[in-house]
Amino acid sequence: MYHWNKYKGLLLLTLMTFMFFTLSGMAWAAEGEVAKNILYHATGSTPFTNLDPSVEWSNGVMIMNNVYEGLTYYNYETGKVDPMLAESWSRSEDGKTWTFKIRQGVKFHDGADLDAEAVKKSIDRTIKLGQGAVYIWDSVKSIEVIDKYEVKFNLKYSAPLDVSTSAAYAAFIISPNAVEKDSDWFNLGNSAGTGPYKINKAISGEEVILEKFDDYWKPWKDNQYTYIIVKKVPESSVKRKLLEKGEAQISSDFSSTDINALMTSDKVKVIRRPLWQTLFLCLNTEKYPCNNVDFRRALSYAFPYEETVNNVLEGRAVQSYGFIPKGLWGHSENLPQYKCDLDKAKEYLDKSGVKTDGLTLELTHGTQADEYAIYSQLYQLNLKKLGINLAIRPMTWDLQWAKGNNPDPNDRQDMFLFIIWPDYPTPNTWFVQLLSSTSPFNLSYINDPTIDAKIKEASTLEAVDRDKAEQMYLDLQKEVLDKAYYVSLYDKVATYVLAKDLKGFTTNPAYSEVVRYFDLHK
Amino acid sequence: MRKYIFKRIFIGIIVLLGVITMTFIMARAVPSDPARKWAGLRASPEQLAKVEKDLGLDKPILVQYINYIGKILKGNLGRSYRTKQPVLQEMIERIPATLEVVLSGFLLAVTIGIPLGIYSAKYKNKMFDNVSRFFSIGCVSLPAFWVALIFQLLFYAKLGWLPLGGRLNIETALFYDVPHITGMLLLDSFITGNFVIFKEAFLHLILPSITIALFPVGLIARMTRSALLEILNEDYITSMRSYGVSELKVLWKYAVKNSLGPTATVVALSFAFTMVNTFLVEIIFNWPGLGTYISIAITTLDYPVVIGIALFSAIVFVVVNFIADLVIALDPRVRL
Repeated sequence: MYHWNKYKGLLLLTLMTFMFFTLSGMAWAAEGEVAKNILYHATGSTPFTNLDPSVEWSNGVMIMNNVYEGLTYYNYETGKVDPMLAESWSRSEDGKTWTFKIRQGVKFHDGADLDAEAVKKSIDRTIKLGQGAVYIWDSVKSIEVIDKYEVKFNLKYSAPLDVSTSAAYAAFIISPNAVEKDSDWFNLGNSAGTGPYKINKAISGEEVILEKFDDYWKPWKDNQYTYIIVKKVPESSVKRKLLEKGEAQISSDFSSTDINALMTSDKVKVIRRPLWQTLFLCLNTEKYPCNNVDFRRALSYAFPYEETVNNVLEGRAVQSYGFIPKGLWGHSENLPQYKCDLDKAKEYLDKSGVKTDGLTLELTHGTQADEYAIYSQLYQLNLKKLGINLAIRPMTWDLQWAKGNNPDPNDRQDMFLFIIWPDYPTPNTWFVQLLSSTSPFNLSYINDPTIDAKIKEASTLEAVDRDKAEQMYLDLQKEVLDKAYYVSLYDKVATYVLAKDLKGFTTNPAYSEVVRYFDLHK
Repeated sequence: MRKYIFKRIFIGIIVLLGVITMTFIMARAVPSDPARKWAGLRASPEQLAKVEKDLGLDKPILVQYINYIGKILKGNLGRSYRTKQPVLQEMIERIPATLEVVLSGFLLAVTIGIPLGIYSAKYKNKMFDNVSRFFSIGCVSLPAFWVALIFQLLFYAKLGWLPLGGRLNIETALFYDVPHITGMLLLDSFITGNFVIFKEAFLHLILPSITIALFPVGLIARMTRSALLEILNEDYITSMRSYGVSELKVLWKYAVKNSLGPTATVVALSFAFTMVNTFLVEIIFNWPGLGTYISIAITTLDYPVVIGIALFSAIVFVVVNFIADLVIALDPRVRL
């Protein structure tokens, strides 16, 4: 009895261990073969904030543009929009009426058919909800269904509606069965688009699983992916290990160390693609000394552009020409471009008459990227040579924003490092956001009615005379560069790391951060 | 005893109210733009005004506070400004993942730490005690995130023995029916007899649990050793030895039981602290728990989430502390 009690515990432990390994062994054997046509996209940030296609205006762009489609799609190569859910379109002479012929034979994920009525209901819903990037429909007065596959837009003023319908946000056509649903329904993981993938599962803040839509209107090939897993993996070294081991097939947003290591790996390929994301230093023109144009020119000549692009960013950027990034109309390499020239900077500093004794400027930047601090410090060194002190303050967006919106201009920062990108492919975004006197993102606080009038005129010309509109935008850029309201820094270049055998990868800067999974195959 | 319990519950409520109030005030003292966070960075003034009205942000601070307390009493923690989902629902989805890894870690810590402490006390100043001291100090000193990265490098990248992170392999999560009873995958899969998921969940739990266990194992070992050394010097221990009671029995049946009081308190507080401070481990191991949720909420000033998490932390500390005190009170020498 004593011996039994003594060994009772040991026997129980042995039995439990045996059961564990037996059952696990059975589980191991039971695994079998699982389908391998799964693509794992490890992203550095949350895959979505909202899965409602009429509302989402953030990270969810990458999911939305694979699950939903618009009437048109912007072609980065040609600079024009291509047919998508619309086969063709026409406009009136004055650009205030647009008629779209809708593609036939297209199904939504819930089995409903695409027609003109579905288009009208989708866009009416987006306008009615009034959230997200709804402003792309500001010009729309009414939408009429002409016949089953023809829809007409009547506008309040001339606007390039074919470009609006290609927007990365708020332009999606959803099933008529889902038009009455609220955002909570979509956030449960329900999808109601026409895109090649539908949502299989969505975990807020973490992961989205997309599943192939068998009835997609374009034909599928055997080597395309059936499942796409878009999962947040915030740590760079973890993403690197996943790619090196072959568990993940796509990722981006790596640290410099990890990118340099991956570039030497034979298991992956590193690809660089241009983005339409441009960085500016917004100079506070309502505060001394940045209210002095020659002083601003001095600041523009003091920035270390080449060092920033070549040494700090190591190919992840190109210096900007004006406002508009390459690949979008309105860009021109004939525009003046500031170079780092401390002699010229000194010349303009002297001309400005600003005394530098005891002068300290404040520069604020975000905390989401290490490079902001690095090139700010290089700038600080250059300014020091001119006798100007620069206080660099890394801040979260909220703090920067609060400071930049201080009612007293003297309490705002002197320089605000700001990044901008368009919601739809038009240069208008940059001008409205940065120069318009009513824009909250006019962080140089420019208040010039002449500029406002020029922006308005150019935007109305976009629909009917693009060449003239482009010339107006180019002239505006020359004017702004000359007055140095902003220091145009660089256009970002995205770095993607892909599995070696992954094919078909393309990006389109008009759809920032979007990977078109339908194009990918092994 | 009953009086003591009521008194502790009352004090607990005061503590929770204090935490909510302080967090509410601090969240509003820090500059932020919740309406813009909700509506989107480039929202129009009209959109922002509508959101401010919908979220009640246009009301005076005191009214906002009273409304918020009222909602909490009804179990409504508001919606995250970032995800727009109910905070309570998001927390409930994430708590089981954190609970699973923390419980596993602490089970490991107690299983290793207590015997380690006991034998360190028994072999005081001998080789075992010296090695144990080195081990314990190492465990407490090593930064958890560094250990996590080393584990991944060794066990995943070099040896390929264990998974990198997450709770399940992506194929398993996709093609197998993942049971959901408590939200703790290991337990749920065991209950439902799904041993494919059980095996996957177990393998994925190993590295994060060991990382979580490091700090408490060192702490528990040292606390147990100190407490036991005091007991081993007591007269009644000497008496039992002189009566010929075996050393094993003296140690495990008499001495250890009386020394666990201080260790229990430390374990309880350490557990409560770890429950809300797992973010580094969760980020490295891509573990979808409360830690990553908290860290994003803090950096984005998503203050409904910040207040919700502060409330949860306070509840965990109050409850765990209370349970620890009750456990200690089982010792008849202790008067509540």
